[in-house]
Amino acid sequence: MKRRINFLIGFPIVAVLGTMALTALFWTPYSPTGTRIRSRLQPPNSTHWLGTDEFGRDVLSRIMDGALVSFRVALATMIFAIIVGSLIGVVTGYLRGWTDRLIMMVNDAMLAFPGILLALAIMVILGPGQSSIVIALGLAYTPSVVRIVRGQVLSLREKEYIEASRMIGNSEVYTMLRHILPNCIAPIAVLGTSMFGWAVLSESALSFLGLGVPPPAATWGNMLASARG
Amino acid sequence: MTGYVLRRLLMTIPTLLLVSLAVFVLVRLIPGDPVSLMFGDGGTPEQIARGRAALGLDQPVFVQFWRWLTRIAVGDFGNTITDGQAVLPLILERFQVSASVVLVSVAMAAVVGVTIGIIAAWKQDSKLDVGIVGLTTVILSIPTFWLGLLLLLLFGLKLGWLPVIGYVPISEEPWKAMLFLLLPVATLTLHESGVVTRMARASDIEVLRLEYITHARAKGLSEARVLARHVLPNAFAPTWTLIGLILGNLLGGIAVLETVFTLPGLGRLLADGVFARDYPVVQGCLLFTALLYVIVNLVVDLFYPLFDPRVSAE
Repeated sequence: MKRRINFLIGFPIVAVLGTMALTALFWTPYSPTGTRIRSRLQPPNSTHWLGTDEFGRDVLSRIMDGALVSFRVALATMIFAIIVGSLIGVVTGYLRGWTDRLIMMVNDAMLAFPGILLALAIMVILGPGQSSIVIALGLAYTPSVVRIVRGQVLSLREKEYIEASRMIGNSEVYTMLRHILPNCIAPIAVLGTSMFGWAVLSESALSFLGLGVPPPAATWGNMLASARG
Repeated sequence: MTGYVLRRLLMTIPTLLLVSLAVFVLVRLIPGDPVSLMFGDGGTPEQIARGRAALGLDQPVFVQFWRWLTRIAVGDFGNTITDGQAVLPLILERFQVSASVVLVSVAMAAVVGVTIGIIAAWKQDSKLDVGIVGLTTVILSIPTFWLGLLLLLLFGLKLGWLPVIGYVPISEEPWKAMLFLLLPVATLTLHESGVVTRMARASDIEVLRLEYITHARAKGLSEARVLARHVLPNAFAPTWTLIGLILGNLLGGIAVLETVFTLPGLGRLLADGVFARDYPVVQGCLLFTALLYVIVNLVVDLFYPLFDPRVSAE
């Protein structure tokens, strides 16, 4: 019952946003960055469905394009954090010993920074731009991936089939990639989906602070920030 | 018990060292030389060299780290580049603003969240429960800065009940300060109670399924007593951890909310420091928030045995 309600409410929202972002790949009603001074700050009307901003840019086009930017950044962030995090997590959990202790100490120290602050600090080092946001947010989320994957690997490595893989002479690297990693997919997938949501929010938060995607590119965060004035 | 406390205290030392190392490395990675930045365009090479020597930047990195660490240990966080103010008093001043908002909000969110969570779990799958879960999902999906902007629009601009911009320290005009803090606190409380409700509900449901709850009911205890005496204490640990994490995260991390409500808090100080490339401020804020996080988690861990005596027995 509850599942169905969640699906009935959630699916249309995701579908609308997804379609909007995908459409923006090929087409937006107006150019999202094209300024038309004569039609600035218009309320919603028949030519500009959601009105125009202070530079006369069509708000609907900017929202569509912003959705695309958010999706792209969030997806790339998620992939980045998952790849880096799982690799470190698998290696540290599988090797145990000093490598594990050292990596986990650094990892826990990184977890002590609020994600958004860590991302902020990394943004300063990398400078503005979409790829910097992906790296900054990705690095900020990596420690939690490492923690979860490592936990999973610690229990996996005691399983018989892992022992079997080593016994028939497979190399450690092959065992890790072929037998350990695929069995970590379930928790990674769960974490990945919620990470996508966080990444969208964090990207808009960073952009809202003025440290995300630099203007004139549209993102929901920097649109809100400029609307606030 | 004493053993647990000591063990937990000792465990924080390497964490603290690593955290400070992380901050040190992060700030050193920022491109550009802080001394040339201090002089702007007007520094001669000799002046810059002298400035570098004065800050110890001509020393090997390990020496720099050690010096920095020993100065941090006595509370010397350096001075800001922009106006030469001492960084630590500045951080503490700004922290008071963030802390007052965050502490009040998290305390209220904890009370609201735990209460609603246990009611939802008790009436699991009823209309009330579905409604509560739906509402928390909606609340969690709304970014706090957008919610804050909407509340500002409604109460500040449309209704004109509350001030839109500005801040007065509580120590100067308590009543006026309350007016400024009302909306940020409300926004944060609303959002965080959503988070707490979810966690509390989930762990309450798990405990409600256990046999000793059936037993408690079978021996004729009232539902209120079952919930208060048997469910809540046993289900509280995960919620308590979450509250600690939220607190640690928010104390330095509400930069966005502070921007929305123009509050001069710690997060805003960091963001401004980033814009102004004021490295001592950035470094100080990062270190301070990270230390705070470690301390909050330590305190949370130290409280565990009070709820669950099994923790310290190990």
